[in-house]
Amino acid sequence: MNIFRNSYLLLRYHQVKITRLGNMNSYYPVSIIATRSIADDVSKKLVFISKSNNIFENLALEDWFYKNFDFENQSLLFMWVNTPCVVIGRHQNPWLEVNLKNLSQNSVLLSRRNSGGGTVYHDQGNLNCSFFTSRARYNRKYNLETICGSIRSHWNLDLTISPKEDILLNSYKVSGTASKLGHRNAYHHCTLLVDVDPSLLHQMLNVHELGIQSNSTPSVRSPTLNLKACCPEISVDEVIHILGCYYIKNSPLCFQGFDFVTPSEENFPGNFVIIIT
Amino acid sequence: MRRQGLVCHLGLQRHLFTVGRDWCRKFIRVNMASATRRIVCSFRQHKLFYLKSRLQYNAVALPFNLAGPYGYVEQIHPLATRFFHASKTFYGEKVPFKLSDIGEGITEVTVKEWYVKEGDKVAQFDPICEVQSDKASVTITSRYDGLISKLHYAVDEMAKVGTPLVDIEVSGSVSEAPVEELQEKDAIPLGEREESLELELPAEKVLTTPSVRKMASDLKINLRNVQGTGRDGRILKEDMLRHIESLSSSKSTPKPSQVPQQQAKAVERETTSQQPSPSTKTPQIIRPSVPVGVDRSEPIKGFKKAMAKSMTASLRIPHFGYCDEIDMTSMAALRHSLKENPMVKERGIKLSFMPFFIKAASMALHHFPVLNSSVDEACENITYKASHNIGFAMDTSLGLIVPNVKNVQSLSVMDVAIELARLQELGNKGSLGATDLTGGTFTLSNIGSIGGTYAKPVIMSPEVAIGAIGRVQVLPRFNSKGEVVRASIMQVSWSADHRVIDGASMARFSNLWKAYLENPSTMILDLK
Repeated sequence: MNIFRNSYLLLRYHQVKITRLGNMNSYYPVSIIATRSIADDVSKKLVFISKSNNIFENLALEDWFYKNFDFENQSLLFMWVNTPCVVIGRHQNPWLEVNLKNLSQNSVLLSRRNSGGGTVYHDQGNLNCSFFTSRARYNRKYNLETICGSIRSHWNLDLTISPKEDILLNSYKVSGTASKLGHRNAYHHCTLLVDVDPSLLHQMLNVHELGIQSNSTPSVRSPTLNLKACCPEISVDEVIHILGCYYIKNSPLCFQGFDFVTPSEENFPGNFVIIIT
Repeated sequence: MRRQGLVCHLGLQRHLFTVGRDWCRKFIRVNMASATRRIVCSFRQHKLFYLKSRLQYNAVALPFNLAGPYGYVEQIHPLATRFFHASKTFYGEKVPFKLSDIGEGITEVTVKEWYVKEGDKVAQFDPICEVQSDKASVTITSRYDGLISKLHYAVDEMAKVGTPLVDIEVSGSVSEAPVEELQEKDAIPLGEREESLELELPAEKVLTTPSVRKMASDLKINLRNVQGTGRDGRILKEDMLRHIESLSSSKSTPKPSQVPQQQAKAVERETTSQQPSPSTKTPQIIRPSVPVGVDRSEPIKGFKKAMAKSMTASLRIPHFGYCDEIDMTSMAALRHSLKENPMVKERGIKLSFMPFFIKAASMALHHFPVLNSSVDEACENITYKASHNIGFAMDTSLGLIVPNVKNVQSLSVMDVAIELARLQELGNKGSLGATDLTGGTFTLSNIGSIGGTYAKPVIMSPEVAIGAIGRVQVLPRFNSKGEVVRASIMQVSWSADHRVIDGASMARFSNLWKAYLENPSTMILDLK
């Protein structure tokens, strides 16, 4: 039955126009984009959890997976948690997005990620999930539905997905999403505010008018809410566990198990130039 | 041997190679004079050659620091090497590389970064630019090998999906530069391989192994004409051999255009030979001209359409038939006696055989509930229906309709008769409601009222069984004593869905129903 549910979700996602044919309700997808449903093929599903809390190491590992892994027959969910830091999007201007004075005062790190989108504040109460798939199987909505489904089923929180593909709880934003598509691989990553310090968040992202004109991508500000505010028993570790299980559950293959990875040069060696003598 | 270094520019990357000196001498003599043309280097060392062919680049190798006894060597500015392979005589037509569909219904994206500029050489799968749509950052990679001739958008401009993004001069039909005498003499085996590589360098490179390429170049076969059966359309050695065979065989066989003509002529001859013989044998028959009627067509609407629809649905059910004969003598006598009965006369109902048939069927269905069931489309679930809603076929002026009597299990024969009368009246008027027409679980068709003995009724989906009752005929039969007696015989033909009902169940049900009707007093035994 999971297979039917996933392909139904895919159909709903592509549905643009609904027509009623007599007594039959039929959903008529007007634009059918040739993407393979994740549930259609027998692909391996991996779950990696990072042991590092360093934003730079985790972003580097994410980039390593994007450039070096082959996702033809497998998909990966990579979950990571960082020490307090601010991450700006690929084409953003930090002067316009981040309050750099507060940043240095609170010794919060600043980093730029490879995918587009807006600025986010991370700390130990924020979970980052990166969904890696091949280019053909890239499906943002499916990934967000996985997250919403897992949290809804376990903690009964009413999470919804907005048209801009943010996860909302009582019309407050609890997650921000961004993705990167290459010609072979693609990834979609999002944050999840479980128990983030709201005062620090506002301090970091509260920028006064500097009078800078820039072509960079502006961030769209939205009011945020922690999941813990609505459900006190929730914690980041539990969300990691539940989300991982839920992600693998929908795979036709048996439970693979979670892998804990340490981003380091030995485990994930970089490319080097071959010198031939 | 003094080793010298060569700097090889492969697109944007610099690789350091070292080769032997004597080879270097060869190289200099060959290539320095043709510095303005596209330079292809041939390395003697296998590793380097493999690298080059894997990367599918034209490597420009130039000595960067040569001081030697060769006299005519010049020191070439390393930056100038970039433009040695940009000569226009080599490359072909400009192909507009359109921004392909990114997905998610996105129509416009913002160009954020360019990785190439005009005049840059690109290979297939090289990143060209970065575009951003909403929150997705997409890296656009090149589809062709070639030279970037024009960028259509600047940074931060909105690019529409489907419009050209860049113009690439694809190295299509190669206008081969006249090969130097020196080149041929000095690097004969490798040089030839280079040429064959060049020939196949257009937009879609033909995938083969070097040995197959050599075979093609030796035999002067264009690799594009060979059908590849390997992965991604690779041309394997077997394909090449097959192609060679087909080429040689096609020359020996006659032209294909002639063969069908010959065949056609043969066919003609045969038919003409046949025609005279039959005409001579049969005598000429003079037929008077009869006025022919006009075809009339009308759309199928209303009841007929419903019937057509339901019959098409019934076609999917595998039917099996079971027929039997019932001795209706006792039943006829019973009916005859009941007609005179004051109770029946009071209620003013015309008592036919049908109420008895329906009630007997319901009583038999108690013992065989599988016949009162329903199967879903995919035949995965069977539902044993609790109520016996027995339908009966009614022929009206509008067509065939099958109303049903609801809950026959809790009705008496009289109630069934009353209900039948009501439905028949409504049917004749044509005002039967939806509740009367739907919800049936079993059907009996009394085609015998019009005529016929055995029939092959069609099951009405989603039911699983149907019975067709024939005409009551008076026929001679043997009784238990062996005497010939007159008996009222009626035939019944059952059809059942063989996916859920087996012959034995149908047979036993029929026997029970037959028993009730042949001995109506047994109906009293099972009265509820």
